[in-house]
Amino acid sequence: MSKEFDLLSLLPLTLIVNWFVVLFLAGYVFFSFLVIRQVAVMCSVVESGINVILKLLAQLLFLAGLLLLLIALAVTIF
Amino acid sequence: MADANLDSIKQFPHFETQSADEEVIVFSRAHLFTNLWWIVLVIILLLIPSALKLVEFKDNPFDLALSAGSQFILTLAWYLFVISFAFQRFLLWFFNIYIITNKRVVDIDFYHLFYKEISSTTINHVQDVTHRRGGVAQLLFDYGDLFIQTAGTTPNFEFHAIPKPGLVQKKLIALLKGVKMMGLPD
Repeated sequence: MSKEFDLLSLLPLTLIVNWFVVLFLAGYVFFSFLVIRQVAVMCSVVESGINVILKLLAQLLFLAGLLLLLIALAVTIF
Repeated sequence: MADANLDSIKQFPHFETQSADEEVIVFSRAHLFTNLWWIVLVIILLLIPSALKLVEFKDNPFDLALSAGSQFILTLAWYLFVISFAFQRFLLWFFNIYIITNKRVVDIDFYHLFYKEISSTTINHVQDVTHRRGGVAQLLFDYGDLFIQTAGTTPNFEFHAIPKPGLVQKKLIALLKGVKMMGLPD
């Protein structure tokens, strides 16, 4: 056994980073859910050809965040 | 003359508080060039994970400590964050709109995603119109600010970085003259 004090081997860096990412993604999912509603409000202010695309993109970002959150949780826990 | 012809065939989008007999004369948002800073920033941010992989650090602590799964999740989260930032910047640019109709001046502002402000005043409240263009970029791409001073307690209007501020000012002044001579349309 090495006598050198190796901080990195003691620090569960992967676990810390994983939980940090999970927390970040949880915040992101909540925020992007609000963005879906807000984009709908924005689209009602002015009619535009790309309004449908913008609404779809907001929903897509929310779903991507949700999916990534689930994957991150799975990676962290298991 | 060419401008007048173009305007007559141009279809402006309908906005929320527009009345049936209201005709949009100017529909503007900040110049495209004002988006350059965040587009460049987003490109740089998108390249960061690839750049980090290309550069080989000696004794890189992250390579030693982070598992492949964590690195993968972290990279995806990073891309998601950057794309969302770009989306938010685009929304703020796209929905910050300045409108002049034959009856009103309307300023639709989204200071950030969850803060909306719509101000409007009738044309006959407009007292003074000033446009300001300064700096190389504004001179090169012909964009600048337009300040509309209004009477009484009505807030003044500031149209920031709109394309062709001089032309918009001319249109508004012509409209003001028309309103003073003919009165505000019903």
